[in-house]
Amino acid sequence: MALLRRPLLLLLLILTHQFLHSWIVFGSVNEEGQKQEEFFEELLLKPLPDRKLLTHFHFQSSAPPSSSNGRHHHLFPKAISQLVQKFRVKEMELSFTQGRWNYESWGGFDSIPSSNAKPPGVELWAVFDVPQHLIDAMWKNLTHTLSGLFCASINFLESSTAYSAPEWSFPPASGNLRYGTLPREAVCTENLTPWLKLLPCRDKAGISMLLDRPSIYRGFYHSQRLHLTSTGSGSEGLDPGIILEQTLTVVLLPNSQRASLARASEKHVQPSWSLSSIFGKEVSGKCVLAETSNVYLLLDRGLVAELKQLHKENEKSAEKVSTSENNWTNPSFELSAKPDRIFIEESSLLSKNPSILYKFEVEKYSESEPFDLGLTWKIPVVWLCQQAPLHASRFLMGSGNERGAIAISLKSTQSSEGFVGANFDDERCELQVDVFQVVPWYVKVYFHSLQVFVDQQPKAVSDIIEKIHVSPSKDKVSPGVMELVLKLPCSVTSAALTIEFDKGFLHIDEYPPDANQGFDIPSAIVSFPNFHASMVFLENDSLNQSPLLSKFQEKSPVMSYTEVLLVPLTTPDFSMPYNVITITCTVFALYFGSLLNALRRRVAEEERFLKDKAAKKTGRLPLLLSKLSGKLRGRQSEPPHSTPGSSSLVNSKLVFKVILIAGLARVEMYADQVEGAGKRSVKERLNVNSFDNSIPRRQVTGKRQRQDEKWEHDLYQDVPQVSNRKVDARDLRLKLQKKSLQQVSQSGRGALSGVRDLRDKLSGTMNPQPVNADPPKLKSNAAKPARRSVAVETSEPEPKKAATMTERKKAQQKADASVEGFLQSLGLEKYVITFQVEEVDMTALVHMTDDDLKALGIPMGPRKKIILALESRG
Amino acid sequence: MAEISEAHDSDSSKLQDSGSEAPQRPESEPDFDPKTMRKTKPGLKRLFLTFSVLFSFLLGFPFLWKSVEIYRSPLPFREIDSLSTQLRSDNLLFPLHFHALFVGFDSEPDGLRRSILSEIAKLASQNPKCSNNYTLSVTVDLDSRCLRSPNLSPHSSTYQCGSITATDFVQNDDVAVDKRLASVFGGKTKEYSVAVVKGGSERAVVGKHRHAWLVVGDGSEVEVAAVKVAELLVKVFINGGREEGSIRNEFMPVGADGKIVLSFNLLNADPRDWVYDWDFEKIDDTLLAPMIEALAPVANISVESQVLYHTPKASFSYWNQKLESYVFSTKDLPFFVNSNEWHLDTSIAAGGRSKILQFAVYVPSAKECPLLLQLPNGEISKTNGFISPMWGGVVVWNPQGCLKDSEFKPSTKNIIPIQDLENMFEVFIGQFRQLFGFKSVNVYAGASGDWNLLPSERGFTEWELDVLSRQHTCFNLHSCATTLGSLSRLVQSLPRMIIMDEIGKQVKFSLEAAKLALSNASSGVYESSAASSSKASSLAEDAFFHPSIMSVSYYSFEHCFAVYSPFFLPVSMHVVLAALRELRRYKQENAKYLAWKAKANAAS
Repeated sequence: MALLRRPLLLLLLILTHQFLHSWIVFGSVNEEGQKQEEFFEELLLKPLPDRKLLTHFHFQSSAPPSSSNGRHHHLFPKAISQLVQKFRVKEMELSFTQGRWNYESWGGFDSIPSSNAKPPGVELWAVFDVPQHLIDAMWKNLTHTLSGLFCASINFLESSTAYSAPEWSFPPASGNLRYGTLPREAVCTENLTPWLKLLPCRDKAGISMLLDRPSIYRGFYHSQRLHLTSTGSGSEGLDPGIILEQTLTVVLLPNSQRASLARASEKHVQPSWSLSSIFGKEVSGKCVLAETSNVYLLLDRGLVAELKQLHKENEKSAEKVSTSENNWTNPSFELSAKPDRIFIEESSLLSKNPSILYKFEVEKYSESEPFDLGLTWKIPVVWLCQQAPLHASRFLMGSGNERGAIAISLKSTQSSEGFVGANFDDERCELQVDVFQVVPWYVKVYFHSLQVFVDQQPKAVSDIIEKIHVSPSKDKVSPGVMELVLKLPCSVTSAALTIEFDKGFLHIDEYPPDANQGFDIPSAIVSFPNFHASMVFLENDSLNQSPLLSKFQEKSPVMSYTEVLLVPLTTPDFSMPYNVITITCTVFALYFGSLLNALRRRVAEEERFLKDKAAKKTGRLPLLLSKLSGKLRGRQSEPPHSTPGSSSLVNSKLVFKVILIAGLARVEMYADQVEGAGKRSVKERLNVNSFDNSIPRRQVTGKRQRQDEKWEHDLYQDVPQVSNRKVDARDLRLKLQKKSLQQVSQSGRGALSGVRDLRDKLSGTMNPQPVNADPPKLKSNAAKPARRSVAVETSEPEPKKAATMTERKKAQQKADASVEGFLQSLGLEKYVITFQVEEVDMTALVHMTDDDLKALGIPMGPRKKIILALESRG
Repeated sequence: MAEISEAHDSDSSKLQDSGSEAPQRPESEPDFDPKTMRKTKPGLKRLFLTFSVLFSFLLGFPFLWKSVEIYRSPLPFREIDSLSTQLRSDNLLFPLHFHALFVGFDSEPDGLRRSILSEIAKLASQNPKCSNNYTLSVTVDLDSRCLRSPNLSPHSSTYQCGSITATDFVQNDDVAVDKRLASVFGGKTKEYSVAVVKGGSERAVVGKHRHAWLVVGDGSEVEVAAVKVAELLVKVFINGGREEGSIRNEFMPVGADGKIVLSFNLLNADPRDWVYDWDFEKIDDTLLAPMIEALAPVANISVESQVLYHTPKASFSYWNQKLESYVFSTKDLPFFVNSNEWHLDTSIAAGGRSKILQFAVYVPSAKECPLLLQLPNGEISKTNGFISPMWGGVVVWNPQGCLKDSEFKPSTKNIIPIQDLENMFEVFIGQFRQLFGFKSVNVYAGASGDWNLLPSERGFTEWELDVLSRQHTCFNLHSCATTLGSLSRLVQSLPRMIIMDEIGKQVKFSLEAAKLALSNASSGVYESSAASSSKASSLAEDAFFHPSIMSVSYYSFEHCFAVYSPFFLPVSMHVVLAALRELRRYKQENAKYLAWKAKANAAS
C-alpha cells in the first residue's frame, strides 16, 4: 500500500504543480488586459394579469475587440462573428415570433414588451458599416446566410420588394438600415435548434435546460430574438467586439386545473405555478461557462400596488415575511425558494409603487438539489399592467377586389393620465407618435387620400402630422414606405389614420402557392419617442452587473406593433394564359384563312359554274352539298361525276387530312402537357386552401413548401412526388402548432396522423380476430389506440416530432450500419468513415457509380470490389 | 387535275372584264377546245397575292426566330477539345533534373549513369496522367579528377568539384550537413542532388531542400549505391515517399477554388467535469503560420478555431484494467465523430467551394478519462488520434492524471499546457501531411534500405512541396479539362440553354490559365504552374456552377413549339395551301394558253 501510495503522492504533486502552472498561464492571459469572452444566462418570470405567466430567457455572449478574435473563439459562436465580419454588420436584430403580443392585458410600457414584443413571423433589420452603394448587396448576402443558419426562408427578404430602408421612424434609425419582415413565416423547433446552437451550453445545462419544446410551442406567444451589436469598429487592424443578445420570450398559461377545480368559485385567484409544472423540467445547476446564472421574479408596479392595497384592507397586523427552510412566504403569496436578493425599483416617477424583483442564484443548486421555483397565491389579486399611452390597432376597410383602405386607430388607454414625457413647450400638451408603415407594391396606396381623425372629428392633415416621409412603391421593384410623426393633444381619446389603396395585379409567376389566402401587409410600428421604458434596480456590487438588469435600465422608446393585415387580391385562373394563347391563335388563324379565301375567290366563275349545274338539273340536295363544300373549300366544288382521275386526288386529300389531324393532335398533346401542369398545381393550391380553412391561417405556411412550389413551376414531371412530400412537411409542422383535437380528426388528409390513426384502428380490428374469446378485451384494445394517438397528437405535439425525428435518425443509423456491415463483409472497414463523412447510406451507396466512389477517395481495388458486390446484390 | 374539270370556262374569268363574252368564243372558233386551251394569258394577280403573303411570312420568320432566340455566348468548343486531347494524348511532362555526385569513388561516370538510368526505368511506374521527363547527370569527384557524365548537358550542375569532401560527413549532426550541402548545391536551378560519399559510418539522409546524401563504408560497391540512389530518385523525389494505394495519388484536399479552411475545434465532452481552454493564438503564430506560408503555392489556407462544450462522442469505450484506461477500438472509430452534437459548423467565412478540414481535440469527460485509441493490431495509438480522408483529424487529449485520483476536480477554466498543445499540433501537422498523402514518420523504408527524412520546421520540405505542386498541377489541369469538357458537352446538348457572357469569359480565362500552367509546367516552374492551374480549375468550376446554368428555367424547344404552334400551324396551313393551289392553277392555265398559242401558230 505504501508503495502504491507514494507514486500517487508524487502524481498529486505533479498535478498540483501542473495546475499552478496552468493557473499562472491563465492569469497572465487575463492580465494582458485582454478581456475574455463572456457569457451570461438569465431568466425572468413575471405573472401577468390574465392568469398567464411571462417567461423571458436572456442569454448574452460578448466578444471583446481583439486582433484575432475574428478567427479564434472560446465561448462566442464562431458563425456569428464571421457573419459580422463578412457583412460588416454594425447592429442586427432577427426575431422569430408566433402569436401576437396582447398589449392590452400583458402591458405595453415595460422594457420587455417594447423590445421583445415582435410582429408575427420573421422580422429582420440590420445596420451596416459599409458605403451606401454596397448596403443592398450586403443585405442580400446576409439574408441568404441567415436563412442557412436558422433554417428559415429569410432569403425571401432578398428581393428588393421585400425590404425597405426607413429613414427616421424606426428607432435605431440611420441611413444604413435595412428592414424586412416575413409575416407569414411559420416558426418551429427547426428555428429554435440553430438558435440554441449559438449558446455555449446549448440546452444541455443551465437555465436553457428549461427550454422544453412542447411547452414553449404550446404557449400563447413566443418570440425568439437575436440581437447583435458590434462595438467599436477596429481602427488599427482590430476586429470589432461583438455583443450577442439572445432572448426568448414565452407567454404561458400555467397548468392549474387542480386549483381551479378546488376553488371554482374564486375565479380571481391566480393560478399557482412552478418551473417544473410549466416547463416539465427543473434547473440543475448553472451552465459552468456562464459568468452569472440568475432567475428573477418580477412583480410589476400594478401588482405591487394592488398587494399593498390588499394588505391595508385585510389586516393591519400583517405578519412580516417569514422564511422557513425552503419556502419564503409573503402575506399574499408563497415562494418555494428563498430569494437571494430583493430589489426595489429606484426613482419610479410614474407611480409611488415601485416594482419588486426577486433574485435567485442558480449557482447554488445542483443536480441532486435542482432549482424549482414555485409560486402559490394565497389571496385573489386583480391588477392591470402598465399600458403604452395609446393602444394601436389596424384594420382594413372596403370590400371587393378592387380597392380598399387601411385604417390605423389609436385609442387612449386612459391609464396614465399625466403623461410625463409629453411636450409642454408651448402651453399645449402634446403627445408625439411615430408611425412606420411598409406596404407591398401591389397595394397601391394613394398618399393624398390620407385622412386624420381625432376624437372622431376629421382634422386637417397638416394640423396633426408634423413630419411625413413617403417613398412611393415602384411596381415590382420596391415597397412603399410611409413614415409619420403625429402630434396629438394629450387629452385625445382616440385617433385614426386612414389611407386608400388600389389593389394591383401581379404577374402570374408572382403569386404564392396559396394565392387565395390573401397577401399580408406587414405590421405598422407605432412608437412613442417621448416615453421611455426603463426600470432602474440599483445593485450594490457594480462588478456583478447583470445584463438583463442593465437592459432594463436602458432608455428604450416605447414601441408597439399592430396586427398583420390580410388583403385578398384577385387570383387568376392559372391555366388562363394558355387558354388565351390558344383562343387568340385560333381567331387569328380563322381570320387569315378567310381573308386569303376571300382574296382568291373568283365570283364570276363560281356563278357560271352554278348556272351550269342548274342547267344539268342535278337534284337539290347534291347541289346544296356541293355548294356547301365549295364554300368550305373556298372554291368551286367539282360535281360528283367528274373526271376519273379524281380517285387518286381523293387519296392525296385523305393523306393530307390525316397529317393535319395528327399535327393537331400533337399540338393538343403539348397543350395538355403544359396546361396539365398548370392545372395540377392549381388544384394543389386549391387543396392547400381547402385544407387551410380548417385551421388558423397564420399557422399554415410551410417554409420548405415555398421553395418546393417554386421548383414546381419548373419541374412538371415531379409534381406528384413533390406534393406528397409537401403534405408530409406540412403535417409535421401542423403538429407543432397546437391545434384542437377536432381539427386533427377532421382534417383527414393530414397524412401522418390520418395514417397513424387508421393503422391503429386497423390493427385494433384485425388483432382481435384470433382472440375472439374475450370480447371486452377486444373492445378496449380496439378503442384505446385510436384514442391514445389522438390524445398524443393534441396535447403533446412535440414528442411526436421528436419521436419521428429519432426514428428517422435511427433509420439512418441502421442504414449506415448496413453500409458498415456491407463494407465489413468485403473487408473494407477502413473506408467506413469515408462513407460516414459523406453521409452515404445503403440507399445512396446502391446508386453510386465508379466515379462517385472515386470522388470519395476510394482506391481502385476496393472500388471494384464494392461495385461488384453492389451489382451482385442488386 | 381537279382544276382541269373546272377549267372549262375559267379561261374567261381570267380576263376579268371580258369574262362575260368568253362562253361565246368557242362557237366562233371551231378548233378551239375550251377544256384544254385558252386564248388569253392567265392572270397573275391572285398568284402574286398569295405568294406575297407566303413570302412575307417566310421573311418574318427569321425575325421571329431572332426575337425568341436565346442568348448564348460563344464558347471556344474547339479549344476545349484540344486542351483535353492534349492532356490525354501526350502526357503532361514535368522536367526533372537529377544530379548524382559520387565522392571518393573511382569509376566511370558514364557507366554509373547508365546503370542508374536503367534502375530508374525499372522502378518508375508511369502514372497514366502525369509523367516526368527526367535528365540525369553524374559527377565523379575523386581527389583531383572531376569526371562528368554527359559532358555538355544543358542542365549541367553548377557543382564545383572538390567543394564536398568526405570530412564534411564525419560529424553526426544531420542538420549541419544539410546546411552545408544546401550551400553547395543551392542555387537557382531546381535540381535534385544526391551525394554518395565513401568513408565514414553508413547513413542515408534526405535533407530539407532538394538533396540527399548517402555515406557508405569504405569497402562498399558502387553498384549497390547506384541502386539505392535510383530508388531514392524515383520513390522519394518523384513520388514523395508515399506508398502506392494508401491514399489515391491525385487526391488533394484542396477546394475547387484553391482554398483550404483549417477549422480547429477543442471539444470539451462534458464541461461539468472540467473545462479546458487553449491559447490558440500562440500556436497559430508559431506552428501553423510557417506551414501555411510554405504551402501557399499549392493552396490558400486560412485557420480558425473554436471551443465547443457538451460534445460527447457517439460511441462507447470500454475499461481496460491492464492499461488502467478506457480503450476505444478502431472498429468503432466511425462512430467517434458525433455529428449530432459536434457543431463543428461549416465556416461562413469560407467561400462556397473551399475545402474545410476539421481538426478536433477531444477532451474526454471524467467518466471516460484516460481515453486511448486502440490500433487494429491491439496496440495503443501513440498519437492518440486518427484521420478521416477529406474530413480532417481527431486527437484525444487526456487531462493530466484525470483518473489517478478522484479528488482531481478542476471546476473552473483551465488552459491546456503549452507543451501538450505543441505536441498535439505536431500530431495535427502529421495528420495534415497524411491528408496530403505524405508519411507522418521520418523514415522512408525502401526495398534497398532506409532513408532518414529530415523534417522541416515548416511541416513540408522543399522536395515535398515540389511533389505537391506537380501533383496539384496535374490534378488541376485534368479536372479543368474534364470540367470544361463536360460543360461543352452540356452546352451542346441543350441548344436552347441560356449562356451568359460571364460564362464565356470564365471559360476563356480558364483556358488561358490552363495554357499558361501547361507551358510553365513544361519549363519546370512548379509554383507558378500550380498557381495558374488552380486558377484554371477554379474558373472552370465557376463557369460550370454558374447560377444561370444551374437554373432549370431555360426555355426548352418543346415549350417554344407549344406556345407558337397554335398560331403558326393553322395559319401556315392556309397560306401554304392557298399558294400551292394558285400556283398549280396558274400552271394549268398557262399550259392551256400555250396549247392554244401553239395551235394558233400552227393554224396561222
